[in-house]
Amino acid sequence: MTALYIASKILTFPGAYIKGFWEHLTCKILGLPVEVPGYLRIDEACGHVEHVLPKGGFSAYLMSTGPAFMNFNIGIWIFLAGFVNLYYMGITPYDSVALFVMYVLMTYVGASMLCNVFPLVEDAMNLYDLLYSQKKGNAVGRIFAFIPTVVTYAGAYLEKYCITTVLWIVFILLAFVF
Amino acid sequence: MDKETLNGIPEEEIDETVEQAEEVTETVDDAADDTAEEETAAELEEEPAEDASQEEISSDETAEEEPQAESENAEESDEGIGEESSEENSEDIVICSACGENEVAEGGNYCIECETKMLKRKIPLLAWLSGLWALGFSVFAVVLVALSSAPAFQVIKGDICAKDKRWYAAYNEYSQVSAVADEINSILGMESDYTKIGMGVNKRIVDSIANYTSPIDAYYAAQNLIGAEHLDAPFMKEYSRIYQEHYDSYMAMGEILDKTFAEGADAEAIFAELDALRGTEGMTDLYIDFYKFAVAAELGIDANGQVELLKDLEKSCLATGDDYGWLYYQPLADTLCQAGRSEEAIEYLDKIIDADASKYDAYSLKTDILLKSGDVDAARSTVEDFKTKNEGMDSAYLLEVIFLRSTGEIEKASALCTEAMQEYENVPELGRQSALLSLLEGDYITAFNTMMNAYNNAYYMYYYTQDASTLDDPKFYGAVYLTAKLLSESDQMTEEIAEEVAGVLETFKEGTLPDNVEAIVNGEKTIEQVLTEGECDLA
Repeated sequence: MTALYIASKILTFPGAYIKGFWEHLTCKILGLPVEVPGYLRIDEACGHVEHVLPKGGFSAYLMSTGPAFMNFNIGIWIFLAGFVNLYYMGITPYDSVALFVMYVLMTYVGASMLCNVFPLVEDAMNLYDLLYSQKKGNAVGRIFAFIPTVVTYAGAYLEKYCITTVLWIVFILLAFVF
Repeated sequence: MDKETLNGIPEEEIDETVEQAEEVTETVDDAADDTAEEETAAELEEEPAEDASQEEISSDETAEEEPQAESENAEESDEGIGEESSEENSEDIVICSACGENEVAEGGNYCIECETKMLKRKIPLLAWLSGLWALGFSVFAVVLVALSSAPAFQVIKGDICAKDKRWYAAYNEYSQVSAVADEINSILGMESDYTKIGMGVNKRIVDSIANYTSPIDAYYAAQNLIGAEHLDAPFMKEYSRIYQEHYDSYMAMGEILDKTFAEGADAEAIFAELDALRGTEGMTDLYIDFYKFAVAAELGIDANGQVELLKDLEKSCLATGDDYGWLYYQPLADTLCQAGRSEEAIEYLDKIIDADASKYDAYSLKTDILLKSGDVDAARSTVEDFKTKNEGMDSAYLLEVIFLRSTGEIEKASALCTEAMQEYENVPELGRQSALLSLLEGDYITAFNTMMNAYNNAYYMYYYTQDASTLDDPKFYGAVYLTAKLLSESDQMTEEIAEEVAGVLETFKEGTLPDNVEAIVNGEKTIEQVLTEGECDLA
């Protein structure tokens, strides 16, 4: 499974690398020590930064959802710009090779960023544990954070087993091939 | 060793000490023996089978082992205490797992040195560049999405229609995509590359034409849309094949088909010549069957005979394994209807409707058949079905207006037609229906003006598309003549339009008119009879 995970990260390396950057930046902002440098290592933390787990509820929330927010919000626009022009505006090499290549790359980079949205399972578990087992942070915050936390928790597992990457590949194949 | 000199202690004292030590040793031995005997006795009580000699040996061994065991236990307990104390020490001092040298800082995971090093770990320059590039590029992407969103929504609207198999509606939506893109370009004040309509949109337009009319029409449309140089695009493969098959077959049959228009043409002789071409190079047999039907229709062979020819065509089409319904479903339904085989006709009409829910001709014929059979409710539900699936389309208005007129609901039809004309003032057939309704209401001057407007629209259509089908339709030119004639004979005639009316009537002097028009002009039938009974139209 680790090999498959690493393969999915290599396949989506632009998104994985940029996700690593956002995680590292978040660690810097939160003052969390980064244990292992390098974003594209050949291990089960590929595409992530290994860092000390945050101990506060808010910092754990920010560590889990901050990089995801950045990768999602950047990735979705890049993906849409490529996908809309390829799928709906129907740009093909017959129309313009340069535009076609650009839109293909945008679709790929955007999708790769959307494949790398969720945190490591350890981060997601830590977030859930701090907010809902140890009940750190105020009650209102925990109520508002519940859905994002559950989504993050589930997404972390989906990403761990490469399901997000597989789903994106299936979606793109259905849109353009079948 | 000499006792007198032993550590300088007097010999007497040494002796006393040795005696005391021997006494102590004996006492200990006795005590040990007693204990061993007591334990052995206890063991004997449990295992009475063992003999006395063994008891003595074991008691001796036990007596010797006891102190050893005690001393070992003592050693073990000492060691245990030693370990516990060292563990306590190691809990107090946790070594940093990163460097393996220093003590972990209080409340931290690593030693201060390592933690400081980890906190100072710099983000690589490439990562900064990647992150910032992604951020900047996403802004560009947002602009791109904004530019292409309106044309893309237009495509989505077309896709929704295509998904529902409403191909005419889909074609209309797709055709407007370039207009939407042009609007954005006009706002931008430049021809932007990022609002470019690609081949994929043209493919959708061509596909919708292929489904709404025929793959051959789609091929012709593609020549204009994507240019002759791109007709080898993958999506054109099927249309090109069908076009080429039809073209080659038609060229091979051309001379024979020309004989159809010769005076005294013999259908059987033409059929024989066409059949002789079967299996020849470049000939697709199903087109022989199709053109045999065309010859039969031209030469006026009876409807049942035409039906048989179309049934032969159906067999040829089914034998290919491809769907050639576009070629024969509608003519077969029309011919079956003419032959009075309404139920069979409806079967084929339903097949057409299943493949394309925007096929006006199929719905119109089905409504006519149902109305003629007296099943007004079924006809109404057919009209409602078409209206629901093609809401807001000119064809939906048209079918409902004709239905309402046919059932005598003139006021409703008139109101609906007025509404439709506001939205589709340039559709000639809607104008004609409006003129017919005005005739029924006795407003001949409005009927004439409306009909002339419809004629002008039809003429413009012919001028721009070379499509003369509306102008050549007997129902259409019959309506032009009828409105002019009835106005000229009525007291509504004014001097202002007298010249125009006379001019119109002049053009029909030598032409033939539909029977129903002549019947009205000659007073054999009333307008109401022609427009609300039987055919419910002029031809």
